[in-house]
Amino acid sequence: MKYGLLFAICILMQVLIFDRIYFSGYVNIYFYVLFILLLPIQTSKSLGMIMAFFIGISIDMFTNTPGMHASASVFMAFLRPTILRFLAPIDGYETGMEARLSILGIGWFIRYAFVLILAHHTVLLYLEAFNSSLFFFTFLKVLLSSFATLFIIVLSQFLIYRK
Amino acid sequence: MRSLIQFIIKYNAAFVFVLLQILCIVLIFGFNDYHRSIFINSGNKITGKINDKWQGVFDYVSLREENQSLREENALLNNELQQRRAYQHDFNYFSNYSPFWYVPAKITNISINKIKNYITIDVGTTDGVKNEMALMGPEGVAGIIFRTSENYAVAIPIINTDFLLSVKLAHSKYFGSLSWQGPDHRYAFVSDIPGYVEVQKGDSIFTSGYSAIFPSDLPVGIVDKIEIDKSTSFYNLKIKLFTNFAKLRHVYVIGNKDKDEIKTLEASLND
Repeated sequence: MKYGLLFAICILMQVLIFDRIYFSGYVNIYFYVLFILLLPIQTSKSLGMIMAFFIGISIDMFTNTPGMHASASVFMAFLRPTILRFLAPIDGYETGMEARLSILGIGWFIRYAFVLILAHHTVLLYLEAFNSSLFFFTFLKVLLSSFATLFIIVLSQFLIYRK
Repeated sequence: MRSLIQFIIKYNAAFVFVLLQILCIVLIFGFNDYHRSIFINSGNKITGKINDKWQGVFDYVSLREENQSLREENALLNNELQQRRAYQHDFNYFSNYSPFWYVPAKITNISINKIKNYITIDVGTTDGVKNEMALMGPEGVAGIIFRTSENYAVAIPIINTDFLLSVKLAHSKYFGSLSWQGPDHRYAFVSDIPGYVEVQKGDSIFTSGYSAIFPSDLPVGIVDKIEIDKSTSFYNLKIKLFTNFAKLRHVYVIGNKDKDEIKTLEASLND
């Protein structure tokens, strides 16, 4: 239920606010990946990917990019369990633990979020630039957009889950 | 058989991943135009409504600026009308007939930071808007209508790598084709103008009117940078577009009553 609400909020925030923000051509913010980041740690890989697919395809409907956001999101959800295992604390995750900044700390969250955001943006922006000679432009765009998205997502964590 | 099922269960995540990615790739590259068109739908019932409502908020905020720009356009049109009237008075034989008609529209959704940008507007088939009609902003050419639903239409703006437009130079009347390669939404490129033509920075670029979509002599932009491609000795002109897509709110759809006639005539040549 909580995730249904998060799903809707992420889509609306993305479509109504972040898609309309525009700095140069280099920085796009894809805030909705927050939904995939915040799924419970215990979520199975397949379920995570299916959820990611649905949020991706919903964004696609708004932005006229059939399949691109869905593909990038599924890829991100595919990597997530592996990244989580890499970054696991020494004594492992507790049952029912959520991948949240306020629980696992800022250092952990930034590392976790950055790797996944970078993966997502790389797939998304290269799919978008497919077929064009914009390799280095896209490379720079991936990096700058990843930092921007990371910044906004970390900021949102401070605003929403204040202790 | 059992070992196959066990195999699938063991690697279910990989299977789901591959399956979903195949689905995405089908969507991205599309078997045909129809598959794509299902998703090119920022103008459908739900997404169109949401965008429309939300855009209303911005409209309110930018009312003052919008008013100013409309007033300026009004003044410009009035001037032109006066000139026309005077002209017609002098030359009574000047034809009154124009095949072009205009529908005012408001933008409900626009993207400017992608490679394939689109514009969604709040008029559709019920207002007489059809595919391949021209989209014109207050300052100049904006795009071409590409899909329509009952109450909304989606246009390909100049700032989409699929956009192509026949244009001409104001002074020399030579023709070229305008396209956009990204990423900057303020500039586009004109190619196919031979290198012996005299071009100067600041020359205006207009539509050629050779496509039956756009009337001729609509403003497009001005020449900003001149380069010659050494291997082909054709110009590669960087054009500063008149239309500012970052601020575009109100547009006109331009229809051509004679378009079907022109098309059938041209098609008959190929038979």
